[in-house]
Amino acid sequence: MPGAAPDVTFRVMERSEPEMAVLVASAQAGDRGAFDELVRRTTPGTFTLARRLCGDPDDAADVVQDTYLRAYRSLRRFRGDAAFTTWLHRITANCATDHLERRNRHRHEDLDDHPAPVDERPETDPVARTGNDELRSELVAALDHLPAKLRAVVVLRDVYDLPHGAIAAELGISETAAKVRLHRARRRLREVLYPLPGEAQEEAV
Amino acid sequence: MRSDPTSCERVADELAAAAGGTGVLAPSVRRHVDRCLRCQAVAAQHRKLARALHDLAGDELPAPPGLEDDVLLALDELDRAGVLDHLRHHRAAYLGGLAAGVASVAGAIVLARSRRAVGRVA
Repeated sequence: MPGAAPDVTFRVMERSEPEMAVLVASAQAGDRGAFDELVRRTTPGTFTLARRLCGDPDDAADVVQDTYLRAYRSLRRFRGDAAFTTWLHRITANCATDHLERRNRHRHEDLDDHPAPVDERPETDPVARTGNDELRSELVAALDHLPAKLRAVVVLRDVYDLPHGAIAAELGISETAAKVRLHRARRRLREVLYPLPGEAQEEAV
Repeated sequence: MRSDPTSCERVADELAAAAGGTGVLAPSVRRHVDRCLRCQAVAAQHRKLARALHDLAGDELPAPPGLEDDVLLALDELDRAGVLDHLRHHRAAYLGGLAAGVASVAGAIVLARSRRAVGRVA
């Protein structure tokens, strides 16, 4: 960390991860090696979240890089109110939003106007489908097909359990908008994974 | 019991909101769901979906090879840029100080000479 003396008070909140807390404190005190170790320990989790938010591995890799640069610059502002990984998740969400907005500005398209993914499987009866692995892979595919704005909210809320307020803050939207997007995302996922007869007909039209 | 599509559509958002424990069904919606097999199925599907989404939190996808090294290299770059900025800032301060020092020495010499000249005239 360029510059120097630590001027922050780090409060240890990660009781389950005391080693992480020590690393964070050392990194805040200017120990670059400690920050490198934090990167090594958290990269898989950060990449997973970025991949879920972006729906694309290349975009996710860019987001991971942005995330750590931003975290490194603002590490002194981390006060330990939440776990370090939670703080990192919020930065990841923020970077993913910025990244997708930048990319879509070039594409001139409104993500909310994306059509719902069409289920092309001949067999969609949920009773006929067994096994969590199958559901999981279908769910991941359905998430990837969601418009980015909907995907971000449902991933942060239903997968990572972030509160509505935090999600709204990270995405730069109101809490009401975050809830509307969440409900819309859940409906779309439900319709793709478990289409009822009427819904399947609507999609086919 | 037959479903009323209008009512079903009306409660669809409520069911989506209630999934994952983020909302509570209004009594009128609950009454509809209690009588409507279609909406009961939808509610059950939302519950299953919520569990499956929650389970994804335990997943860890393998990061692409080299990503970690790329991040560490980018951090090195950031550090280097920070050090260069620091040096640039210090160099400017050093040169400024040097210029001020030279100016004050020159001023002192000029002042001393002019005083000596005044003394000789007197």
